[in-house]
Amino acid sequence: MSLESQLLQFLFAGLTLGSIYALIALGFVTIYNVTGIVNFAQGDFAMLGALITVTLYQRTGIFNRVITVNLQLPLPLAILLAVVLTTLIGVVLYLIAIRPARGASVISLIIITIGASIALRGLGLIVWWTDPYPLPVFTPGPPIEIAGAVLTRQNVWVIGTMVAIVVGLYLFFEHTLLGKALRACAVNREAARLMGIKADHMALFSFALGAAVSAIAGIVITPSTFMAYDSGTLLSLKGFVAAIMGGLTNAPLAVAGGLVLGLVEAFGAGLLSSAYKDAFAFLTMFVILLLRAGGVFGQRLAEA
Amino acid sequence: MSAQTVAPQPVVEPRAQSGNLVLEARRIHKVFGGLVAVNNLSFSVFEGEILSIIGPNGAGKTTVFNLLTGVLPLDGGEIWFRGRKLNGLPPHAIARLGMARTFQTVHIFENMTVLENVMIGRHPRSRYGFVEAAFQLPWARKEEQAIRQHAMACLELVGIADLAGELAGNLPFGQQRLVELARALATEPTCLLLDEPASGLSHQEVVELDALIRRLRDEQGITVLLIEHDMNLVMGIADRIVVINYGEKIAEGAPEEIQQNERVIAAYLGEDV
Amino acid sequence: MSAANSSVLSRRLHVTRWAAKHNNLTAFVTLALVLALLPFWVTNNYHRSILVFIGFNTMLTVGLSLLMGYTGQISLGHAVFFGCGAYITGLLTTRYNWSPVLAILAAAVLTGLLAYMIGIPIFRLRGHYLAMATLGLNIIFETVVVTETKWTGGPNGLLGIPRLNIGPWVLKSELSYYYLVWAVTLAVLAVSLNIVNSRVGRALRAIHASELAASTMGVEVDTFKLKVLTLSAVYASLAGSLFAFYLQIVTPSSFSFIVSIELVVMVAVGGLSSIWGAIFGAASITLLGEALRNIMPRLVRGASAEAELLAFGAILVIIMIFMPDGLTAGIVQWLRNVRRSGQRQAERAKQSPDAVT
Repeated sequence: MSLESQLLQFLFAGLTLGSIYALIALGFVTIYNVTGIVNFAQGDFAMLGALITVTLYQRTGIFNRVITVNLQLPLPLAILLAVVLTTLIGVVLYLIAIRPARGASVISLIIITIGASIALRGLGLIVWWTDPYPLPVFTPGPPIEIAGAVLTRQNVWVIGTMVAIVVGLYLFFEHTLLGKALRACAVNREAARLMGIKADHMALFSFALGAAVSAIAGIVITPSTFMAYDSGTLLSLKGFVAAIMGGLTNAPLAVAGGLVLGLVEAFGAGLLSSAYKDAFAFLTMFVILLLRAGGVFGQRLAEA
Repeated sequence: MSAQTVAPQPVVEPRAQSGNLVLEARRIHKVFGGLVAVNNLSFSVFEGEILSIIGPNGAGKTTVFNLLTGVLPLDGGEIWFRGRKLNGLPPHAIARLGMARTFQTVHIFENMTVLENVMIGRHPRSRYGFVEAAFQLPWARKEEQAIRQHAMACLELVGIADLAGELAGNLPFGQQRLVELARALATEPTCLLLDEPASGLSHQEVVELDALIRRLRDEQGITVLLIEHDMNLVMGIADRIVVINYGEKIAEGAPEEIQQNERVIAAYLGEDV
Repeated sequence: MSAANSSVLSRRLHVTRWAAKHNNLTAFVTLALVLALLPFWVTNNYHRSILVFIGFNTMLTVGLSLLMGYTGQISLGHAVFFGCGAYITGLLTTRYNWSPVLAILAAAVLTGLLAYMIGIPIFRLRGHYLAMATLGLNIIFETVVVTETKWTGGPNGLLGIPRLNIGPWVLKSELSYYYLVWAVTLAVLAVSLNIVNSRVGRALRAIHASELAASTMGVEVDTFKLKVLTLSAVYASLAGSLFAFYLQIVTPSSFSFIVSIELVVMVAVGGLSSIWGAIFGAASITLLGEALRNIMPRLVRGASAEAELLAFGAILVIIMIFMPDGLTAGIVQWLRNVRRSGQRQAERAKQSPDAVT
């Protein structure tokens, strides 16, 4: 393979990974904007979405193979149901863990969402054990070859899904009443409340939306990477890294951040060392965080 | 300033008015995201005086305090304090030099007792650190004793010694303000910056505050910089007044002069008070 | 305020302080005695090993409690320093034949230095960012340890660590490690208790309550954060070193970010506002983990011991919602409220006859 086609290959891989990170980052941004909470369980929704789809689609032994689920639903139906179920889990999580802690300190809220993430991870472990599960590619067929590099059909699905969701969310936030209400909450929670928008409902909805988007991300990536109970944590972290590029509040920048992160990881893994691909993501995070923190010591103090 | 100093020493020296320059702001400037909060502001504070900074809401008064105490970095200008340039110094270094402040929105340490709050004020005037604390070295114990005694003395000075053992967060607002004041005094300040100390206080409490501020100046020789909205308090207590609006100085002078100043009246009328 | 009145006050205060101090001393001596006698009752080696692990976790939790509970700086990567201690000790004793005691000291110094250097950039962050950055650090550490097989033995771990010897005396038995680990733990505890009840401890709590107010009162906020991080890293390193000698093998999974989160659970249970709570947190969560590992598979056929993940997550959520200052503080607060409402009722009962007449 020539160097050019190799680089092109990294580009495809990076964009695919980046699309996933972008989607998870969008979940972070949506929830943060509306509630001011960083939901560390964001990646675990992706894990749940994928593993529920697997369970509905193929014969799966769960609870350490004590129970066998043999529904074998068609893939599109399994995906739809899995997204709905994960969304419900997001809603339940909000109701039982986040809502009772409204007004808690930042450190408490961090520990709560981390606890939620660990609990979901534990739930995943109990239900699906440590096995990594695959899903079939959505549309089988030969990959697309471009200048010696290979773009699989599933890659196209992943990138296409990301674009479709970004466009969909844009239309939703710009052109629907609910979307506008959510945005109003993001701009100014107090003013939104005065205008009759129930912040509580909006917070609930933001968790539902965040869970749904993450679930979709988890489902589309599983045919290429497998999914296990513990995959959610890294997805959370990387989605967060992408989200902070937009300061946790800016959705378009978060999407761009996801893509950049995917590319850094793909090129870093390809050119430098594949073992350290996760480390590259976090080094990127340190660089961004420290650049963002630079020179604003005073401001932060004054806001304290 | 040694750690052995046990109680605030009353300064016998009479009020040296218009004498020594304690604090000087030279064309200080601060911009928040394109918005000019403090605009080339200059003023001087002399030893032993009570200088009040007034102005309509949002005039940039608290920002001035944040600049003076190093909480915010300057975007321009210089601050001189007892012959030293403060630019770039962190807040804790400025506190050590003898500048102490209170906050408009009380910032006491709610999770500590009143006495402990005030003991924190002794931090810049004491030295022992991790190692001495970890092994309870004799001089660390001795210093701890001194810290405690001085803090008690400060509580007595502001008149809340009986609250020493209370959790600061449980106190009513007015007493929290006093805790904050005692804490600031514990740092043995040359210059005390009070940010709206009377807001939220009852009439009686304001009267007591008035007397207390005078006493601090007269007995301790502390120079006081006062941001306040309560005009009765300001006009009664201040030696001089600096009026700022939109971050700029619009007037400076004795209370009687300020009351007559047309620009000041216009600025306040514009505020729809 | 009259002078006489105030001197009475200060004397009363002095007395309460004396009592508080002696309470601490009494509690400490009691704990030491109980620990010294415990092996006569706990004779089974498996149970003793659990006690040793409680010791390790106490050292780690006390340090994290200073950092998180007192100073308010979240760390989701504390296992990194634990791991540094273990791996540095392991490397020095297996590769370079250092004497164990020297290796322990070297590991503590190096880990402390590392923590200090990491702290300089990382404490420019706070809240969510600090949490994520420390978590990221833990994941980088795991990656390095798994990848650099040449040095660390990779996923299989670093093998062949010798037994600890102090001079000619070689520690072999479960019991000897029990006493050693708890002796070090008690030292860590004593040092920490002294620190929290001092000028330094006040400064740390002030930073937690308001960095703005602390810094304008002359507290060197950044320096104190760095120093407390370094101290807690040294504790963790000591725990790691002893852990390496105790198990004679160190593997990456002992230092994964899940371990860091487990430590946060322990701190949340007990140590958010008290050093004593940290022991309670370490002991209860260690025992709970062990119990789940034993009980779960018996209760539900095929249920994995790893249910502890779910349990820990749930514990974190529940404690943070209902007792954000930690379980022990929450219970103390609750008791105080009960007593106060009791007093109030008594007062009301006393007053009501007057109200009638």
